[in-house]
Amino acid sequence: MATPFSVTITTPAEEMWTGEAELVIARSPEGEFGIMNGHVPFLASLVPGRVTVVSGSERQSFAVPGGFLEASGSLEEYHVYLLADDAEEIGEHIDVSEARRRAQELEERRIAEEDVDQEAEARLRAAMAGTQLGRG
Amino acid sequence: MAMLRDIKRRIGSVQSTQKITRAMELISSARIAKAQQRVEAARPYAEAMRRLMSSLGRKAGNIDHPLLKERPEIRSIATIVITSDRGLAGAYNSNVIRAAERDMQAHGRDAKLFLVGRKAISYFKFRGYDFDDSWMGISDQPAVADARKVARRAAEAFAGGEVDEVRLAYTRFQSALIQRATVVKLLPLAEEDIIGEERHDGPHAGYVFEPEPDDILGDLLPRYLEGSVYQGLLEAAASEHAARRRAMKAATDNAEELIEDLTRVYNQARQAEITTEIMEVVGGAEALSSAGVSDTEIRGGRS
Repeated sequence: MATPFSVTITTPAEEMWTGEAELVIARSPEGEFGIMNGHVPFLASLVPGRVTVVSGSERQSFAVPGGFLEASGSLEEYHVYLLADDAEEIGEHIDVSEARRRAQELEERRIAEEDVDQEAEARLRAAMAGTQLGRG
Repeated sequence: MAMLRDIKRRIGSVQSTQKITRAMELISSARIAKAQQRVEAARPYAEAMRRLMSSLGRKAGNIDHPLLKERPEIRSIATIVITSDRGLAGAYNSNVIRAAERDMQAHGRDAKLFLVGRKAISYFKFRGYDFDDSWMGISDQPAVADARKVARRAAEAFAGGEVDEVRLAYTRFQSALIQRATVVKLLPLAEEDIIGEERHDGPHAGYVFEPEPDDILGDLLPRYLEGSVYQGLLEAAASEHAARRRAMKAATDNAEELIEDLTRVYNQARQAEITTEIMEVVGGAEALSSAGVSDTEIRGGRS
């Protein structure tokens, strides 16, 4: 197989994955494409879909809602930069109902925490007002 | 006696308040560190974005995108104001709100507001301002998706002609000690930001683009805007935690002083009470001895 090259996947929040690969497969508005070492310098917009990074017999897949892919460099220093809106490592199949359930759970927890926050703050504020009165 | 008990109770209540403020101070310290890390972690994407944008801007023949269009006449300006949901952060919220208000008075155009954080919402509501959209539950630990929501709303308002300019009022995090309330222009995006200075590390000659450079740039600009809002939210969050730590430290120190004062008052009061008692005893003894009763009998009577 071809010489490996480095791959970086960056999201707005963080650099989420770096590694080596022999092939990167992604999808632009014009269709699916694959990048191997030495590919002509390339810049693409990505459409929602799967990005696959192939290294030897290993395949890693990421769900990417959109972004950009830039490939460039000499044979020795070839590099693929993936600027993804978001990226989540996925298996071959995605369990949609499980994902939905988890999203709802997180949302419920967020709302509960917010209520506790408000209450605690009100109590502390009252306590602090009390001590200021004590001072006068 | 009643006074002594009262002081004791007050000391106890100050001490328990102090425990909370000290805990909040510690929590805020930890959160500043985390928030700073997030600001750092967001940097590679922002830099890569700028690099791509500058080379695409050069490549794209005629940059023509709704987010870039300067309006000949500016009638209405939207300001995104980033505050916190929670209080007890000293002047953090009032500083950024004041900066936004001052900016609105200075430009004098029809002002629209997009508010982030419970504090901005309650302030502007109380003052009778109309605001066009608001978000809660994102300022403490902003996620990319949150920034996207805010940025999209702003882009919509701008591209749809609802407003002719969008500004962002937030608190810049310069260091753990220095944070500054700032107002910056977000939209229209400035062309010099996009093309920037000449760079040689970006994609240019010999590149294959998919789709055309103009189209890629069109995909890129909204994300650049989202990135700017995200950056603002992250810095504001770091500033919020820094401000809260300062406020809670001050409160903890005040409580300490108050406890010392109250303890002093308590000791004085106790001293006074003892003195009074001694005076009473001495006075009583004198009265008795002048009446001809012996010392021994007095001592016996007291114990």
